[in-house]
Parts: sequence; C-alpha cells; structure tokens
Amino acid sequence: MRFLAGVATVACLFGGGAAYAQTVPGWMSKVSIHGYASQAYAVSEDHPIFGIPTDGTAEYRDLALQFRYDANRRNAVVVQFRHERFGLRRTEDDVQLAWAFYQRNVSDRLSLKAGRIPLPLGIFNEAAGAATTSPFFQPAQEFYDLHYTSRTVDGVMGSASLGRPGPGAWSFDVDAYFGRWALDQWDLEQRADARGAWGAQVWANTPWPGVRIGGGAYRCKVDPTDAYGYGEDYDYAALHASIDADLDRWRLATEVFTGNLGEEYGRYRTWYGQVGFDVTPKLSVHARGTLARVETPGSGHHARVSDDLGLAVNYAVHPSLLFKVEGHTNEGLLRDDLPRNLYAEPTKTRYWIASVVASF
Amino acid sequence: MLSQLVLATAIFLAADALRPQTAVAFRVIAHPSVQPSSLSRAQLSAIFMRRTRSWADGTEVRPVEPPSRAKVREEFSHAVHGKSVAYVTRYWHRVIFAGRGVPPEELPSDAAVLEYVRTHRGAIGYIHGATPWGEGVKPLTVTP
Repeated sequence: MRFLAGVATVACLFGGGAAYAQTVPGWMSKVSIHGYASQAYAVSEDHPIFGIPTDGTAEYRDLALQFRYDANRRNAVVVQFRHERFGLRRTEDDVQLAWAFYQRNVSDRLSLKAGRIPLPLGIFNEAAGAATTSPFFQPAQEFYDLHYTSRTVDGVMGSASLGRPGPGAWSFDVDAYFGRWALDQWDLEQRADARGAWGAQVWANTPWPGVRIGGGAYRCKVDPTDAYGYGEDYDYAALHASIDADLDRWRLATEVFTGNLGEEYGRYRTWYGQVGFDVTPKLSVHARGTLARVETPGSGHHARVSDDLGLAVNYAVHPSLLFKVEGHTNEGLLRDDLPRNLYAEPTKTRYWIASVVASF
Repeated sequence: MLSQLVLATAIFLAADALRPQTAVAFRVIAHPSVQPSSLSRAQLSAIFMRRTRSWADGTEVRPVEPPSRAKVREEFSHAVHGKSVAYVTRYWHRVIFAGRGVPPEELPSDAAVLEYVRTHRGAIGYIHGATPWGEGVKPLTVTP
C-alpha cells in the first residue's frame, strides 16, 4: 500500500496542473477524475503532538481520488476515496471511502443530495484535505476537531443559491441537512453515535470579490453508551461563524466554534485567526493563531486545551503545486504520549512540518 | 475650430487605442445557437464560475477555457472575475474536493477552444484577442 500511495503521490506531482479534461467519446466524457496528494516530513521537539513524534516521521500524508459522473445536467454521482497517515495517530484502513452521494439538481439554484455528504461547516471542513486550499499542511485542527464535529453527514442535504451570482452583488449560499455521524471520544477507541443531526450553514458572498461571511449551527443527540456505559443520551448543539477574505495579495480567515455538550461534558470553544501575504506571485508568508478551551460547569473547571501559534512559508511552483514549510509552538493538552486529561497541566512543544502538495 | 476638432479626434483615438487593452486581450466566442450577443462581466463571471448553468432558452451552458498557464487566462481572470488565476484555482479546489462541482473544461489551445465552441450547442469560450475566430462561432461583446 505504501508503494501505491507513493505512485499516487508521484502521479499527482507530475500530473498536477497539467491535466486537461480529455475529450473522449460516449459516457467517459461525463466522468471527471480529480485528486490531491499532500506528503510531509514532520518532527516535534518536546513531546509527540498531532501524531508527530520527537524523532520525526515521513509517514505524514493525505491523498484523495475523486470520481464524478454527471449523467446529465440534473443527475450526478460523486465518490471520493482517501488515504491518510498522520504519524502516531490512530490509522484507519489504508484506503477509506471518504464520502459518496447522489446529487439531483432541481434547478440551477437548487440541488438535493443523499448519501454520505461532506458536512458544510466553515471554510475548510468540506475540502479539509485539499491542502492547496490551506497555506498550512492542515487547517486548524482544533477547529475541525473530530471529537466535536464531523467531516461528513450520512443523510440528506438541500443547497440553494440566492441573489444575483457574480462579482459586485450580494449573493447567498444556503445548505440544510439532516442525518447522523459519529464523534471521536477522548481516550476511547469507540466513536460516539450522533443521531438525529440537523443543521444549516449560510455563506453571504459580499460585493467585494473574494470576501464572504458565513455562519451555521447544528443539533444532534449523542449516544456514548457503548463507551461509558452511562446509558443516557445527551443533546449536543454547536454554533460556528467564519470570515474569509481572499484579496489580491492578502488572505485573511477567522473562525469561531462553540459546542455545548451539556453539564457533564462541558462546552468546547475554539477560535483561530489566519493571515497571509503574497510577497511575490509564487512566494507567500502566513501566520495562524489558535485557541481551544473546555469549560465544565459541573466542576467549574476551565481546561486550556490548546494555544497554537504557527508560521508558514509557501512557494507555489504553480497554483496546483505548492511547497510549504511551517513551524508551530503549542501549549496545551494535546500531547500524544499521555492519556488525554482535561485536568492535567498544559505542556509546551514546538513542531515543524515540511510538505509538498499537488492537485489535479 | 478645425484644429480643435483634429486635436479632439486625436485625443479620442489615442484614448481608444489605449482603452481596448482588455477588449483585444481576449475575445469571447459562443456557439451560434447562443442568443445573447453581449454579456456583462458579472454574467460572464457567473458562467465561468459555473453559477449560471442554463441560457435563457434552457440550453445548457458549456463553458471551456484555455489552459491555466495561458496568458489569456490571466487576463480574462483579472478582467472578468477581478481575481488572479491562483485565486480561481484555489476556489475550484475548494469546490471540487467538497464534491460541489467541477470547473469548465480546459482545452490545450485556442484552436481546440474554437473547435469545441463551433461543434457544441450552448458552448462558450474565450481565445486570445488576436486569434482569428473564422466561421461557425459567434463573437460576443463584453459590457462592464
């Protein structure tokens, strides 16, 4: 499998940016294939974090391959496979089905989806691995933390576009969904079933090209019975808001997320701010600060989960082929070599990631 | 009076010679079945960002583009979207890997764009302003 991953990486690197949709006869002309490969070397100085060991690892990568079949203007089927390796972190199967859904375009402005659908949450959740969209190897992991949210929803989703499309006017993209997903749990292999999930997200595209403002919310019922044996479901509600500005030379992004898991499990809050500047058309520098906290009203405890400050330099050989070098300082409770404990003292480390990403 | 008229004409011609930089940098062409003879920049942007998918008569819009490395692509991107090709590429990566859609088909040359537009109903594309478009395609005017 390592060989296959390597082949896919090389294929992406050499194919990135040079792949044209070929004109082919028959049904093949309705199929489009896209993919990305992000391969890194990562090392942490003081303790393992985000799967990065202190002796370094090149087992740090994320690849995806997507097949899309547009039967006609009204009907499409989309399937994406994913291969992930994040060093010491628990690994899934070599290749997973990331998501797969059927899409019905009711009109140019309204579509319906059914299946395993990317969850519309913030700037990066739906395309979290597509690293050419993020100047760092990964978007802020505290914000897109799978203990508190999901990449996908198994269910149905309706999407609508409102307002006049194109620059110079306000327009709105609205998604509403219903279904279920699973959440990771601290220190437990079992994932908690999140049932009856429903939520929505709205993006307001401003008249200024590249500037948009978004927000959303969801509710679900989480069933931790298998893991804890408590036998009681609890309601979980989350809110999130985003500002995303991709300007001529500046890129700004900030997002806030709050998830209320009730009296017993507390409230998770995270925020990050990210700014980037294009020094030249190929060279850019970026900074990101992230905070994550858990407050448990039952005990009155406030846990400093993570304070992360990162700096990155990107070199874009082509918009679809990027080299990135980044350094972070982190203080918090996210170390990988000890059991997760909200009552532990936060510890510090610095970690470094050098990566190359290609997409086609 | 005559000299003033000549001077005004000269200024107008000079201004006109400078102005069409964007107008001659690229030429928007469409299949002859496409009804509009002019489109605004906002309409064009919506078409090439694939937010408008049908012509007024219900025909499917089929946009095609030159390769991302082509100079005309950069000029079109700035003039129509008000953004660089790098921005548009980032936008499409976000759309593609969210499963929300795919960008217009990329064709390797102006000749390939012309051939596609000539042979596909509802097709629209753009080529370098100096490239002759020949028979079987309809040039469109771009309005602000």
